[in-house]
Amino acid sequence: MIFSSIYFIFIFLPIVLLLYFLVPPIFKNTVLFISSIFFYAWGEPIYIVLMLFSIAFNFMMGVDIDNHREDKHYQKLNLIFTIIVDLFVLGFFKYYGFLLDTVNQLLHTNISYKQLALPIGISFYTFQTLSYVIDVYWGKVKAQRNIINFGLYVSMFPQLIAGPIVKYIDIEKQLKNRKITIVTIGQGMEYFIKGLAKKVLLANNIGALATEISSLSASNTSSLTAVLGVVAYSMQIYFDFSGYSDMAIGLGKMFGFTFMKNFDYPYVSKSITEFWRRWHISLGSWFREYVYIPLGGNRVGTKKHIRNIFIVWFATGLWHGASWNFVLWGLFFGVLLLFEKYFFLEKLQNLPSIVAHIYTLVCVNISWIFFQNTSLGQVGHVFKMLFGMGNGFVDIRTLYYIKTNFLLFLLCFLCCSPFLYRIFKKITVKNQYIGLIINIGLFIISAAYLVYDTYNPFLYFRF
Amino acid sequence: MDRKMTILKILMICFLFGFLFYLNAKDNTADKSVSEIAEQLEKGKNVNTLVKGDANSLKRYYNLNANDYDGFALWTSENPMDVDEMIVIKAKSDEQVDDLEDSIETRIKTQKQNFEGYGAEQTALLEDSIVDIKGKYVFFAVSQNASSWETIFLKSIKR
Repeated sequence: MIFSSIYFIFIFLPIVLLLYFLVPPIFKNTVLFISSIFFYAWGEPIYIVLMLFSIAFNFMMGVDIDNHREDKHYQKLNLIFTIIVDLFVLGFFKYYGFLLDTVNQLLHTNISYKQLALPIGISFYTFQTLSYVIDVYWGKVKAQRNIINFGLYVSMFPQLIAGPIVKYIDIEKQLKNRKITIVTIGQGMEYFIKGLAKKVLLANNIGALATEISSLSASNTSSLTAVLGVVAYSMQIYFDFSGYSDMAIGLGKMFGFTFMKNFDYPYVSKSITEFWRRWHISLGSWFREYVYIPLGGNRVGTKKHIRNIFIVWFATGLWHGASWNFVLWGLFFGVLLLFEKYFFLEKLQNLPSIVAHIYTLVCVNISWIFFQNTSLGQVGHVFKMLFGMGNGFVDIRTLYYIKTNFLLFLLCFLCCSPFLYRIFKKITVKNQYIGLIINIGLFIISAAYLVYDTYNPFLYFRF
Repeated sequence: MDRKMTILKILMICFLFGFLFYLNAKDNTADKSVSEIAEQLEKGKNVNTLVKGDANSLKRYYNLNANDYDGFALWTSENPMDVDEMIVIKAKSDEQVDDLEDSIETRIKTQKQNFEGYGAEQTALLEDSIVDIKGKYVFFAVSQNASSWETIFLKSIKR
């Protein structure tokens, strides 16, 4: 089940909201937990067992580690045990085939394996359970003693499948006590509609162009067409993922939860350093807190700092997918961040904003080439077309794409910055009814698109 | 208390491995005929630009006899300079699956040799070709659209 579907918006969500608001506060978590299990089981009837195992196992280990505060050795052993089991499950489903393919390629062997389908959301909920158990070990939080509350933290349907990755410490108090008012429900609905519009109106439409251009042969693709394809994909992935995150945050608000912002207009960044403070914030924060800082962060010598950066970005790339192109994508950013840190971040900040913006956007768009194409052959293919080795610099197809998608590109560029949203906020402060009309209008148009286009999964579901 | 906890941990790990073993052993494919799968694949992007092959084509390109298998569907390019191709074949036994895999590997090798030195684009497509084995179904595709065709194939055989 996906958020941008008629079934979810008009059947599942209203029923869950109704039940949630009808039951007394003591049962709200139970209703939400059962709804979340149903939501997950709808798409993954077998893998619900895996999620329930993850909940039971991490709940048990959290309590066990918390019960042995006086025995550091016992705590450490059990933390390591928990991390190994959690990462083993993630590795088994996500990286087993990749590992064997790599071994087969390097050693010219032919070890066969059965490729199992990847359980949806496993990367997200595994990172959540890891953050919980590590925080319990560090003494930042006390273990959750109510398995329903813990199960809700892991499986809450707004953020289960594609984030944001919620740290237990950020939600602990809200699990016990949260305020739900008509204002928070309204804010939640506005966030949800904004996310839905981003996904359905922007991501899906610009994504159709990106898909069309990516399926052209080299002999039919000029440089400028290839550039349009890359830019279209960068728009698609931003609006797709940030749209989903907005919907998740909006749904959370409707149930009284406040999740952290996951995107902060990343395409207005003036450096890669800034970009990664604005893009997939919850993932960057997770890696910083549980990998980068424990390794020493930047408080070590230069060699160790470089090592730490490469470990984090290798892992970030690998988290996104079991394929070498994702690893290259991650390391590409690692290298850029190191260059900025040691050579030219200060100089970049002194340059005119437009230059810094262009530098950042060029680097980010190049990175999406690695992200979109699963084989290095395909990556090379795209770069050849970008450098005119396809069908020259510009052709009639380029002009056709620009002419037919000009307004869409313009709208996407405007929505990449806070410009339109600030205007919307100014209007709604003066007259809330105009804001209401705009939101209802967006919702109706998005719903109309959903009726027409029933299959529109999220790109980040594959993680 | 600690002993109980240790037993619980062992039980959980046993459960986990049992579940993983079950997933590996279970057959996730529905028993569909190749013609049903082919009907779905024909809706794939640009499949209508390919030519549907017959038993002679299967013999010619893969050195396989159609009667030995439980159905097949083959599409090839009309233009000899294109390498776009797709095949779905249903084996009658697990042993046949390995042989089918070998036939496909041979086909890929032959095509690469045919285009070596002058067909960089074709060679790149062959490098990125997709071979997928699900139960008794063997799927192979070479094309810019291979990934989307594979998705259709996987959906069509899902139980």
